[in-house]
Amino acid sequence: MFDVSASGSVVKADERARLWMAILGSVLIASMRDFESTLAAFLVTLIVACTAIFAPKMSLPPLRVGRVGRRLLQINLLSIFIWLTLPWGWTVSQGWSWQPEMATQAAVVTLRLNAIVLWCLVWLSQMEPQVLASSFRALGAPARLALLLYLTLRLLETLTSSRKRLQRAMRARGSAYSLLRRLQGIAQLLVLLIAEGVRRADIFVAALRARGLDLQSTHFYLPSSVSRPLPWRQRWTFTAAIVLLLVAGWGL
Amino acid sequence: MGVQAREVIPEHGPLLQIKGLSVRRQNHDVLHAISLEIHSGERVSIEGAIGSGKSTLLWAAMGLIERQAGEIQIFSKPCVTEPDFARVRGQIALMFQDPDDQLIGPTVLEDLEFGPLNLGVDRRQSRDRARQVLSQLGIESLAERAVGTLSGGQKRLVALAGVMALEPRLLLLDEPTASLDRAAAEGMVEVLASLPCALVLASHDPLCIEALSTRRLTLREGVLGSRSLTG
Amino acid sequence: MHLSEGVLEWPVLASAAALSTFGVGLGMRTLSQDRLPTAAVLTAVFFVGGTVHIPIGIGSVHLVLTGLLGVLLGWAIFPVLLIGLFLQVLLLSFGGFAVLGANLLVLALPAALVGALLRPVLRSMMTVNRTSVSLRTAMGLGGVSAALSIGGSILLVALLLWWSGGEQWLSLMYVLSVAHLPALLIDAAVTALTIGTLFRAAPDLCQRLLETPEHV
Repeated sequence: MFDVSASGSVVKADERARLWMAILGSVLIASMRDFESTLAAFLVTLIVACTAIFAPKMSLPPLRVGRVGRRLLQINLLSIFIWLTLPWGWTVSQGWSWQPEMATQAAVVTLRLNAIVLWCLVWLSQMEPQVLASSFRALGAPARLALLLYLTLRLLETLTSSRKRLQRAMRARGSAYSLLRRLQGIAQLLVLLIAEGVRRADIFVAALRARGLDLQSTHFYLPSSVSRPLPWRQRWTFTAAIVLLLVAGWGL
Repeated sequence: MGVQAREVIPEHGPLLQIKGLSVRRQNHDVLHAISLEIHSGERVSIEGAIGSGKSTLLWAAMGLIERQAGEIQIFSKPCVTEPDFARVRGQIALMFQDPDDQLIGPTVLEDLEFGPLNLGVDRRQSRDRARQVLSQLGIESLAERAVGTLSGGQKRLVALAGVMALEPRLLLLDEPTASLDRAAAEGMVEVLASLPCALVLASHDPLCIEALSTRRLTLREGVLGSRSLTG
Repeated sequence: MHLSEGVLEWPVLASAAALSTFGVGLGMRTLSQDRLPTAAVLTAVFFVGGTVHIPIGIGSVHLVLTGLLGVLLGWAIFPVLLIGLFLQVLLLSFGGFAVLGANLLVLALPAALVGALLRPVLRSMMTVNRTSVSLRTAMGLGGVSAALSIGGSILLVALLLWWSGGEQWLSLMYVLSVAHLPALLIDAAVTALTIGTLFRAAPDLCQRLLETPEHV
């Protein structure tokens, strides 16, 4: 789960700034309500995403086309539902009828949906889980909550690999074809994961305590890589992106 | 806060004193009426098969697990509650059996700073201590590496560096040479022999025990005995 | 089960986030440091569960597991799902940040209520001798808690959509509710079987998960 460069050292990215960008932009776009501003916001996010894909020299986090395509496809299944249901009105005299103002509403929702997904894809691509906990703390989360996130992240590495191992072992004992047998298998898997997880979590917590972390204190320290200031070029790109979004959405 | 909490250690008396310690888990005695004293300058080995309760004894001495009976005094201070233990941790330190459990990362240097920072040492001093320990162990070149990219032997050295950065007076080591090849194990033993603090070694590696211990104990089915009685 | 970004209007998002924050505060009070390890494990299990796909007919459903988490965590499900959803946004791009509060409310509130109701019952069943009758009852309770939690979540989604857009969302609400029924049934079955396995095969673990949190 490490983001590791060729030399084997951790890439000291700007996780905190990127997290802020994603959250700020999401909230901004979510608050837009008319067709013109959502369209403008969508175009801005499209430009930003294309820049991230095709011009990585602009200091945006690099983004892969395949990932964007898959995600947009996924998210627009919901848009299909929306377009199939929202613009159609039913009255006894006329039956089903097309309602233009509702169609605009559907368009606003679809644009907002796509704009936010694109925006978050740009800023959150290749986030490094190891430093999330401290970024989370920097966002103002209480210490115990940040510790919960930290422990969860450590457990995820263990549990995803145990999950693969256990599933392979279960498949080796013969695959269950009936749905009930399959669900039984999943239940067993969950219990094994919980048991293994609790064993590991107890060790992790003991290790933290053994190295001086006092759970009762609220001032404990979690490791971070985010203390570095942003390089100037990245700072400009980040500022430009958010200003563009502000002007597009709320300036119109 | 942590700085004030570090108390002056009396120069006399045992570093660690355990009396009548019993630990039960799932209706089964893991440790039974263990008594043990460790004095400064000693390197005491505790031998025993896998599952004999070595790790449990070390964890209990650090106050990391519940005990059913027994008194523990660390640096002549009775330790009963979690805050009692929290106050002395750092001066008594434990290196875990699996370095992966102990390494926090993301980089080696940041990992080493974790302990001192949580004990209330300021940032600059923590960094100095981390650098100093790295050079003491001869692994300065690893400073900026991500802990996930280290080899097994490197991980164990970094885990040792992590507890050394706490500047302990008593260091407990759980199988310090397990899963190391011969050369790496010899290197580890050499490093341990050079440490100024008292050591407790839970191990079943003859190389490690022979080379280091000034006193040998064995643990069998939760009962502690001296070497001569069981040997 | 996740509400997507962009669908709800901002007054709804803000109110839901405020209610969720209150829930997280409440949950944090019951989440003592002794419960941190198990809470972290259940957070990870929630995240992993979201990646387990079970093929049904032409589509597939993924596990939600809020019913299971509700009975094992009680109100502490709020902070646990906050972390779980936060990680889903970051690592899987499920849902989103602006809608995080709404999603948290939708998933955690029914499960927390169900958990507050059924958790003490399950706990008392752990202490009496575990006969096959009590095992079946426990499994039944597990299934019921999952069904009620997810049913409650579907209702809450409908409520938020209604609040956000009124009657125009009516047909979408129907479609989404029906689309989530298979997930509800699968989750109820998995939760019942999981509670059954925990009772039968891992009683100590079960006891630890269900034990009353000491208030800090």
